[in-house]
Amino acid sequence: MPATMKLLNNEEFLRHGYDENLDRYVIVHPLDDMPEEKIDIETLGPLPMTRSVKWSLLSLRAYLILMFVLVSYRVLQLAGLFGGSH
Amino acid sequence: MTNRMITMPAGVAGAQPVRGRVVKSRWAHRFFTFLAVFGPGLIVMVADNDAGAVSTYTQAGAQYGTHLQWLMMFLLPVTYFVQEMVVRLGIATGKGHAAMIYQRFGKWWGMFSLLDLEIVNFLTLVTEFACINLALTKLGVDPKLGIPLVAIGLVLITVSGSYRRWERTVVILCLLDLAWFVIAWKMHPGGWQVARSLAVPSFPAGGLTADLLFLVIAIVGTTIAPWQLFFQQSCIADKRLRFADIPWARLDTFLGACMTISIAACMMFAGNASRLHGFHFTDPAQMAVDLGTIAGPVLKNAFLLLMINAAVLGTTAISLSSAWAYGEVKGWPHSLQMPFRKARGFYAVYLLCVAAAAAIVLIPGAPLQLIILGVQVLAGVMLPSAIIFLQLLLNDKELLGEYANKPWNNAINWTIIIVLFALSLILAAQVAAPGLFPASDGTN
Repeated sequence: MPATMKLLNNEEFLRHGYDENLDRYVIVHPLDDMPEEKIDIETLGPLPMTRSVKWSLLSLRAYLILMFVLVSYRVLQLAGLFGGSH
Repeated sequence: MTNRMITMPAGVAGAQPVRGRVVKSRWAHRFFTFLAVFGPGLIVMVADNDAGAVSTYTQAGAQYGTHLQWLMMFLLPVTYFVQEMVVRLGIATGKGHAAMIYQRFGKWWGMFSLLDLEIVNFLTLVTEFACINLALTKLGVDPKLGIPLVAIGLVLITVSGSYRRWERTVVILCLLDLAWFVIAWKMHPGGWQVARSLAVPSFPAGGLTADLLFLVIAIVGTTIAPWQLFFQQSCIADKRLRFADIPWARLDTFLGACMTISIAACMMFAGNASRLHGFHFTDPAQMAVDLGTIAGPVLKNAFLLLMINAAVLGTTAISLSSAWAYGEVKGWPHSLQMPFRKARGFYAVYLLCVAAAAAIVLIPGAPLQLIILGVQVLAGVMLPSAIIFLQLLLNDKELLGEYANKPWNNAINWTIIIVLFALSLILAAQVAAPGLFPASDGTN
């Protein structure tokens, strides 16, 4: 894949920007250039659930639940539900 | 140097004519290539010094003098490393951050991130217009006239159907921020004091109080914001940066990080000057008026105009991050290169964000303080989760191949994530138990 990408992206041309025909350096603005071939994320599908990904997402869920509980507690406290606000 | 049409070298399948610029020397080639790539990194960094940032940094200077300057030196590599990951992700995939989360983590996380981003962004936009309101009032301009004019200007720079036009306008606004250096210089901070405060970590007298802790968390939260990840990746995708542009995009991001941190330090020096002259801090607009009494009306007006500039930069970047993210997830056309009629949904989100935030600020008695509190809480919740997704995506070898994180990237980034989580949990603990840290005794 890297070799194909290199050819399609024409990386050498862009990196050195040297045009043999003109014997000059060439600068192409990204918006004036041909669209590059990028990784197609739609064909990749969802991220494989490796152990580290699973644990990270689990920790994130726990963190979000904790934050939600704390913020709700503080809101209820400010509303005077626990006998006066701080 | 000449402009002419060139074609790709022979042998490239499907070669089409591309417009290029021809130069003679290698140095000119490097310089102009950098200029062509330059933009997203500078904009995302300088726009981060928005209304909330002006308020936080000037307050830090006004309350604690130069004691927290060293924190900015610590935040410089942090902000660069986080955004550099975004550069690689954006260039390798050519897609925005919201689309990436949606497609790699599924609908639930995708919708959660989008909803969280849209809410935090909108509340932040209200604070941007609140800042404009404050500055206009001190400049003697009626906000009922000034705010709609600013909102119209913000819409006009975006809906032109040209990415380049938008970028050039915003880069000029970013460069205007360099005037903060003049303001800091006018405050006569002293070279030795500047160097010492930046290089030597110190804490104010009184130790770690609740107020100081909140301000430190606010500074970190202001310097690294969730919308930045979404904005820069979408901006890079819209500009269609190429693999070969990665080194230049990194340089752009690094220069932007240096500029934003230096400007933040200048704001702290302004706050410090106000403290040394015995002024009590209420808000940055009042600080401008106070400093104007000792440094003259030109400085006062420059300070107020820079506040407006900061809010304008923040508004355009934050609204665009919302519009890009919404367009990506909904599958709508979403590019600044498209005219209004071809990307109605994308521009409508941008327009709605700007118009609604401006309108709320003009409502008499709007709960602005509650909105500011909401921004702090939601941003605190969102930042660690946004960075977790970023870190997981950057370790996705299937997605990024050679552009995935190296072990040293991971070591740095997990450290950043742990520190951010710890700060968020401290904030949460303080919310749950307000007496956890000692209150400030006011002797700083």
